[in-house]
Amino acid sequence: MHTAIQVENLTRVFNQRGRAPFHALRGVSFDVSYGEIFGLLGPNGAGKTTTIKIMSTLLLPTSGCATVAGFDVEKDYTHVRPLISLISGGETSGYGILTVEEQLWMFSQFYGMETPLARARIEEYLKVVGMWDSRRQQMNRLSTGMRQKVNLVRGLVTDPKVLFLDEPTLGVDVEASVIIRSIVRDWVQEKPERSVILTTHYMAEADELCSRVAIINHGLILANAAPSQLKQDLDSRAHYEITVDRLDGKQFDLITAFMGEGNDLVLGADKVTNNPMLVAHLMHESDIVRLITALAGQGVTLEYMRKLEPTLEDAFLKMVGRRFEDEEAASPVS
Amino acid sequence: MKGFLASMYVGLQIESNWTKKWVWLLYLAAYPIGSFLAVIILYGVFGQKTGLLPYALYGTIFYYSLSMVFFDMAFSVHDDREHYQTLKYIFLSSTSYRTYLCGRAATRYLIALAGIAINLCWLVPVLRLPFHPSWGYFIAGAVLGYLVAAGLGLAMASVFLLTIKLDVDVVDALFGGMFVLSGALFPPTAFPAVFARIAEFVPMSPFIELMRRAVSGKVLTGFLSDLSTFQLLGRVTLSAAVLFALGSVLVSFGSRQAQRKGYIDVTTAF
Repeated sequence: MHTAIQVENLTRVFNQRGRAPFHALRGVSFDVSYGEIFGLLGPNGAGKTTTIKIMSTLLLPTSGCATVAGFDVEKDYTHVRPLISLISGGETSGYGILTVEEQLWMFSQFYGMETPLARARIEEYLKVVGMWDSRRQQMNRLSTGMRQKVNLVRGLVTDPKVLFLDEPTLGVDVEASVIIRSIVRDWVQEKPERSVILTTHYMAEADELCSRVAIINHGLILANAAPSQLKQDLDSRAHYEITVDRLDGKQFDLITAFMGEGNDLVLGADKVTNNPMLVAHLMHESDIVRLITALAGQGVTLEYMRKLEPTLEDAFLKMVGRRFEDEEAASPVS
Repeated sequence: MKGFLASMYVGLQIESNWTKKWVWLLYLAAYPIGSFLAVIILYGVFGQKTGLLPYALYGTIFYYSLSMVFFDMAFSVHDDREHYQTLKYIFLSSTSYRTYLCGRAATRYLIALAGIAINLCWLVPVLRLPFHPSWGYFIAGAVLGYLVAAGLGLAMASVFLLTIKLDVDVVDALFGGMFVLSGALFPPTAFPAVFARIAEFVPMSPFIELMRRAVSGKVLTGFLSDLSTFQLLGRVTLSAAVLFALGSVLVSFGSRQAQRKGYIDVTTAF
């Protein structure tokens, strides 16, 4: 079996006293293969956490179904739970009076692990996250980033098949975020039967980690593809930014004519050096060679050049018609 | 079993880890005093002639041992969900939530019994309480008492699972009502006949009476006096089995409903 998770037409309605029912999910479908890091990307209130709660058996769907490792999350939840771990960001979970080591050992016991194995894994992962020296510190003395690392270790110690990461780097500093992302990537690559579902509203995080991303908004999945595919679907042209030592209007016109129809050039100025800067939208990747040749032919020296990649933010903007932050500001929080 | 023991460990740490060990032992001894001090004043000072001091004192301390457990179990739902934010992680583990709660209850019960034992060491000689323990009945009663308390605790936990706001008034009312009706403080034979009859069927009544007899070696009042100690043990066994089964069913139902409503990880900052 290659499908770790299958979600079909999932809906969830929250009835609210004195208010209209809130439709958190309106027919969500996707699947996740083993060995995959799958991202659910969307603004606050889009339905990401609701989806993950249903898949992790914390919440029942209103309709539709979801399976984890072939087990129905609604009916066979006792089979699902030993196979999964959930790690939520932006919370301060944990028994403050326990030490880091005690806290992790306790959760390993809830999964029926043998103590020597649990202790070995706790040591291994605490060293990986750089917290071995803090193992005897009480949980309530830890910073947010440290708590989140312990939370991550708790999720990994039991060696789950499917790891649910719900905004794992929320409220965490840059350094800790980098460590968490790196551990998640390594963890899923370590064994082929592992997979990760990541919800995030950090576009760059999804782009960096996920082999596939579903963009979700108002409880609907708008797109589901590899990040590179989502970006490519936006615009097939290649975009470059080139800063040169000099370029007058006459030279610019000549180069534009040389590049031909379909290749758009815009002349501006570099914000730092104030030197002339070309923004080139080229039909084909290979047209960049012709452009550089043309610039050289005009006796122009290249100072700086970079390829402009479309982002997932651009993909979101194209699909929703609004920027991510604007959508967040307008959405109710589920 | 591992989950049960780990829950006991968490319970012990939550109870004891806030201070030094010797301070906690002092606390352990001193804490139950609050529950029976009023009884000593009431029956030992003002109501000496009633001769009810042993009845009320033993009744109160064994009621205390049960109530500590089931209220603690119920509050642990709220604590784990709102304060520690671990409830969802416990739910998602391989250990059933019932097992976890029972582990927490076991620690609380043992702590309560330890507190009682420490206090009996001075209460019996100082107040000249009848003390002719029947250890067999005491141990059996103590084990069954745990099941009674756990059963009630599971039932209350199921209510708390489906309640977002912690309503302390309801809990207090329940505590007071059961205290009076269970015959812990005075013999329900003092009630009108109908209430006295109801008191016999309050789940904790037979346990408290069994423990009174197991410790004092006597039938101290007319309440449940028509039952031999062995029959009383039978009744406690029955009530423990029924309550524990009922509590288990209710907590399963409560868990499923909480899962349906989305209450397992809800935090209200209440």
